[in-house]
Formats: sequence, structure tokens, C-alpha cells
Amino acid sequence: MLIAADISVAFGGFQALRSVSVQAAPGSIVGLVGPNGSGKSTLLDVIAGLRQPDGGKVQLDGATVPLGRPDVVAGFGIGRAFQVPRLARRLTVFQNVMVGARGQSGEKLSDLFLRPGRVARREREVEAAARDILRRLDLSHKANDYASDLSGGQQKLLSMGILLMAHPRVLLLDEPAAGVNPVLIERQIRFLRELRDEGRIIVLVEHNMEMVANVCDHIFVLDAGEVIAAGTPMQIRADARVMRSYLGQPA
Amino acid sequence: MTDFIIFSVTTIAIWSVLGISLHLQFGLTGLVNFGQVLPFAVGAYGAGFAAVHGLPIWAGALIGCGLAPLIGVLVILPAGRLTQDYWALVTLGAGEIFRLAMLNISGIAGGVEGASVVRLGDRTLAMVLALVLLTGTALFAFRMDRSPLGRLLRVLREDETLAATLGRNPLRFQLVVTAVSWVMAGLAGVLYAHVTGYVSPSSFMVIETFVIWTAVVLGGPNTIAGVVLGTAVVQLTGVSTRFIAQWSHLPSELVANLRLAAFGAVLVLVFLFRPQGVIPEPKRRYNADSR
Amino acid sequence: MCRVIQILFNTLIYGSEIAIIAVGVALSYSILRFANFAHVQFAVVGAYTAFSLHQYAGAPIALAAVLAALLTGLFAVLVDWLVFARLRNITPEGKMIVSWGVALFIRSIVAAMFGGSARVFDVSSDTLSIGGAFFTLQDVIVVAATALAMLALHALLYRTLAGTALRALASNRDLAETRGIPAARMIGLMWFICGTTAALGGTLFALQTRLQPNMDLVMLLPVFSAVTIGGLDRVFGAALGAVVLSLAQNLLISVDFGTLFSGESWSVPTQFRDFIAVGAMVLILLLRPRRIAARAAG
Repeated sequence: MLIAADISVAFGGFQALRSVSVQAAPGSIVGLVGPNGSGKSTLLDVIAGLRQPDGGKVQLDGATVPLGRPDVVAGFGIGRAFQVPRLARRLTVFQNVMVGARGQSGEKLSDLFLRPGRVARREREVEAAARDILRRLDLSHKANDYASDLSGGQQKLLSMGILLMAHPRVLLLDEPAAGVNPVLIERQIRFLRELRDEGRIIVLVEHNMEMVANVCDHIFVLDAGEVIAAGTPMQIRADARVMRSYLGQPA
Repeated sequence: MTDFIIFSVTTIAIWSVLGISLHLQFGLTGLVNFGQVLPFAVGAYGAGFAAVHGLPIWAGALIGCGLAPLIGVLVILPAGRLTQDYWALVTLGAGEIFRLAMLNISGIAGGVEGASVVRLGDRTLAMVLALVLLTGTALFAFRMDRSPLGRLLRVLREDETLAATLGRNPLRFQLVVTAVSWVMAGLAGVLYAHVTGYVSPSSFMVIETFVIWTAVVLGGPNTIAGVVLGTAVVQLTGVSTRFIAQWSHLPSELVANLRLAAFGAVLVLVFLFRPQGVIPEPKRRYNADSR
Repeated sequence: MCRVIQILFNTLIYGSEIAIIAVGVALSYSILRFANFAHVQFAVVGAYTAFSLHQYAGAPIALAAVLAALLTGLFAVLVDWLVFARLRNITPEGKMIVSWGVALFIRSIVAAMFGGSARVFDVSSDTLSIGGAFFTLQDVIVVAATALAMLALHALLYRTLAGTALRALASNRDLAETRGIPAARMIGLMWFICGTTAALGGTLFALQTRLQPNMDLVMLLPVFSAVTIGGLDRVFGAALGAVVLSLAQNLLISVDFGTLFSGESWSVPTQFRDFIAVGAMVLILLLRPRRIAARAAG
């Protein structure tokens, strides 16, 4: 169970989040929706340790997740994908995926020179895992292209692939469908369901309402830094206030 | 002629070590070190300190290449979290502070006048030592370059936040790279002191840092071969300044200034027309299909 | 008492010279987002131009200084057109490195043209005294010229349409451009301002000390230290930083620490001015990591 409780963030005089609480159970997809500037991405940043909140706490399966330390948070199995994908653009797709793997003996200077056999063995494992992930994402044919040469949609798939190399418990995804063509969106939806069925926790920030209603098990609606509604997609659809104000559809 | 070749090879080898050190920091990790002359000076002054205070040569070498990474870590610890602009300023400032300290505190190694150290009389031995140092440094850097560590450092270069969200502490890796590359530059400094036979603050001006940068940017900051090639070109123009002055009947000060102007132009033109340098970073291919 | 006045005078004089150079670094950083290490070269070029106009062409020093400032302004626009304008899309690190290339080129050409030896402006000035503190008429002119230039720059940035456009570019370039601000022309204006202010500072600096190609390294650290103290992108913060730095330097150099702590007289030697400059810079970086880090993330 992922719990973010009473999270507050202020930028200068602007209150981005006001005591926001959300939670997500294993094997579920939780949607965060709301207009631009409602604080969705900020909330993901706080959970991922990229933004130090003014108050609140984050817990995963009862353990307290440290705030403001992205590298430590990643060690808890929490992975964050960004709206504008963060990639090593002058490395190939394959290299990008390989970097996602944790515990690489070859990243230690001492192992590099004193235990070359162990480094080589681990590297072969990482290569094999990267190959599997690329196949799963249908990106094998792009493996040796530079990441900067991929289309926007492929870059989003790639950044998800990098995260999966670390076998994360929690995936925080920021608008994975924005700017992605419908065929790739279909593939993403299938993929998200697979990940959910593996027992992972997925938190999804998304503007594409069809996708949200389609895949989410639970939805939190944010506005101006506050949770104004929460429930199943059915309940949210029935909430006239939310529909009228934030989702742009007649009640 | 033989003397000239030996001197040129020795010079190119020593400055190539400095270039490889900068390659690890900038080409691989993306750290903009505008004080690259600092670890070089620290190494040389280790030798100078030992000579002035009657310590053996090995003690001077130990002081030089031990203090260099230590100072590097002290500089990067506060600066590591800052943006590259500030990191550039801090390293630039640290290099100048050290030079000013050596200039004004005569107790360390002679102040303005500098200090004499044991000069390697056998120039062939000096060249061999320089080549051994270069080979060792290049092999070490090559192993780092082609390893998972090198891959991760490139990710740091491209996007520190990405590396952090993938569970790596950027500062820790930057410290490792700084320590390793400053040891290399420190060793180059120790050898340089014993090759020239003296240390003086005027050898470690800010300009020297940009001579190293010119070499690295010209050859290609992302490959070791590029760095050595760039250093060879830059240092050959340096050691032949005297001959060019004789041949062209121009004052050697003028030739030296025109040489530096050419370096400035090279830095600008390479960035304008060939940002990857003469030898670009090769693409590493993987087989994505085999089972 | 007269010691205090003397320290304040010295602070103001040195602070003025640094401030007028530093404002340009901050101005170009605020708009183009990179630290321009070639900026100090504009000061050198300006000083040598003023020297040539005065010594060789016989122009009165004031006229020479103004003409040199205007010419250097045009020179800065030319440098932008030749180099920086073609590099708008590379990383800030790349731009910093290129700016060093430009600096190396300019300083070497100046050294090649004028030789490395120092020159002195052929002007003399009466010594005045107020309350036991000594200064020259030239000192007064340095401070007055800087103050005038600062007022003019302030008026330009805050009282004119062009100034509003420049500030808009600095705060949000994309937004400013979509609102129809002619970015290319405004950046040209920015370079002109950088060139003129730096040239003025360089001329004043050379008047007070000596003129030599190496003066760029003498000015470099204090200027960047002042800009860092004020915040890299704050134009008048840089000016304030220069005065703060100058005060720190003059105070530390003139206080007799020896008498304070033991019996013997001992002061920080004047050669340690640059130590203080860099020390202040590093101290500021240590004290304000959070603000800088927050900007890096956002």
C-alpha cells in the first residue's frame, strides 16, 4: 500500500498542494486528474523525492519513505516517469534501458579492476534483461538508435522500459498518453493492465479521460492543490460538480 | 633533432594525461572544470615542497598525488549540488587561490621565485616515464569508459535528475570521478616538476587550463584517442613556437600570442562547426535480437 | 575616524570599477542564461581603445573614454553576430567554453598588438583631503562616472520601452517572444550595453592602475565574485555585490589583526585581495545552496 498523507507544498507565495492525501493498493491503477496547475505533477515529484514538501509523509507498505532524496526513494522500488521523458539522449535505446538495472557491479571502481569476471557476468544478465524489456515494448528494432531519434510516443515507452529494469513496486507515470498516437496508446493500456496484474502499484496522471476511465480502478480529482473528489470511475462520472467544472462534459 | 623529438614526446605525454583527466570529468561526466590546472599544480608543488624541505622524491610524489584528489573532493563537495555555471566559477577560483597562495607564501616552495627540484638528467628516462604514465592513465580511463560505470557517467552528463530517479546518487559518482581524474593530473604534475627541474607559480596560470581545454575540445572530448590527438597538435605548436619565430623573423612573444589567439579561435570554431571534435564518440551497438 | 573615512573611500572607488563591469555579466546571464567569461575582455578592449584615442589621436581623456565605450559596444554586438548568435541552441556549458575561446582570442590579439608590457595613462590629478582621508580628483571622477552610468542604465531598464522588453526577455523568453518582442534586436541592444559599460569600467580601472593585457585576470575574479554575491541574474545585485566585496576587501586589508590578537602589528597583505574575492564567492555559494539548487530543479 502506497500512502501519501497531508502533503503540503508552497512555491514562494503560491500554495501548490494543501494537505493532500492519496493512497493506492497493490495491483491497482490509481488516476490523478484535474486541470493544469492543480498540483498533480508536484504530488508525483514529492512521492519520488524530487521535491521537498513543507509537510506530510509518504509510506510504502508501512515503511516511511524519506522525503527529498530521489536516489534513496528509488531504492524503495518507486519509479517516476516524466511528462517530457528524461532520457540520456546521446546514448542508444539499448544503453538507456541497461542503465535502469540496479546493483550493477560494474559501476563500482573497485569491482571494475579487481573483479572483472563478476562485472562481465552481471553485464550479461543486464543485457539479457534489456533485450526482454525491449521485446515487450516492441522497440527491439530501435535498440541501436540514439534515444533522441525516437518519436515522442516511443520515448515515453522507452522511459517506462528503463523503470521496469529495476522491477519497481510503484510506477508514477506522468501523462504517458499525451502526444502519443492511438495505436501506441492501445499498446500502453494493455501494458499497464499487465503491470497491474503483476501486483504493482500504478499512479497515473493523465488528461486523456478515455484512458483514465478505461484503466483506472480509483480516481482522485485535484483542483488548486486540494483533493475535491475521489472514487471509482463510475462514481466520478456521476459527480456532477467534477464533470461540469473540470472534465468539460455536461453533467 | 633527437632531443627535440624526445622533448616533444615527453611534453605531449604529460599534457595528454591532463587531457584524459579532463575527458573523464567533462567528456564522460559533464563536469565543467575551469581549474584543471589546479591538480596539476598541486602535484608539481608536492615535489617542490619535498625539495625545499629536504624530503625524498617519493614523499613529494606522495604528497602531490595524494593532496590533489583531496583538494578536488573539498572543492566539489560544496559545489557538487550547484549548477554548472557555479561549478565552473568555483573550480576557476580554487585554481587561482592555489596559485596566489604559492606566489605569496614563500615558505611552501619559494614564493615568486619558485623552487628547484631534482631534474631527471636522463631525458630518455623522462620520456619513458611520461609514456608509462600516459599508458597507465589511458588504460585506466579506457576501462572506465567502456564499463557500466562509463555508461552511468554518460547518463549523469545528459541528465542528473534521471540518474537520481534511477537510484544513483549523482554527487557520489561525481566525487569518484573527481578523485580519480585529479590523481591522474596530480601524477602528471609530479612528473612535470621533475622533468623541468623547478616549480614556479607562473607555470600554472589560468591560461594553461584553457590550453588543455583547447586540446580536448579540438580532438573530441568524448574519446581518449581524440584527447591525445588534440594534445599532440596543441603541444606541437607550443614547442615549435621558437622555431616558427626564428623562421619567420617575428618576435617570439608575438608568435606566442598569435598561437594563443589561434587556440581561442579553435575553441570557437570547433563548437560552431564540429562540436563532437575531430574524433566523435563511437556508437556502442548491442545485439537486441539474440535469445 | 579618518581611517574609517579612508576605508569607505577606497571601498567606493574600487567597488565602482568592479560594479560597472559586473552589471554586464549579470545582464547577459539574465537573458542568455550563461556566464560570459569573455565579458572582462570588453573591459580590456575598451581600456586600450581609450588609451589609443587619448595617447595617439590626442583626444581629451573624457572624450576618449566615451568614444571607446561606444566603439566597444559595437564590438560586443559584432562578437555576438560572429559567435554567440550562432550558438543559441547549444548547452550553457558549451556557451561558457566558447566564451573562454572568445576571451582567449581577444586577449591574445590585444597582447599581440600592444605587447605585454604595462602602460600608464598620461594624466595627472591633484590630491584632495577630507577629514584626514586622502584621495585624488581622479578618484572622484571614477566614482561620479560610475554613478552616472548606473543611473543611466537604471533609467534605460526601468523607464524606457526597450528596458521593459529586456526585462521581459529575462523573466520569460518564450512568453516575451510570443507577445511580439523582437528578441534578436533586443539582444543586440543588450550586447551593446554590456560592451559600453565594461569598456567604461576597464578604462577607469586602467586609469587608476596600469594598462596591460593581463588586467583581465586581475578583474576576472572580483567581477565574477561580485556577480555571484549579487545573484548571477540580478543586474543591480551585481553592483551591490561589488560594493560589498570591495568593503570586505578594504576592511580585511586595513584592520591590524596583529594588534587585536597579540602584541605585534600584522595585517592581511594587499596581495590577498583576490583571496578575499574568491573566498567571498565560495562562502556565498555555501550559504545559499538551497536557492541555487531550487532553481536548478525548476
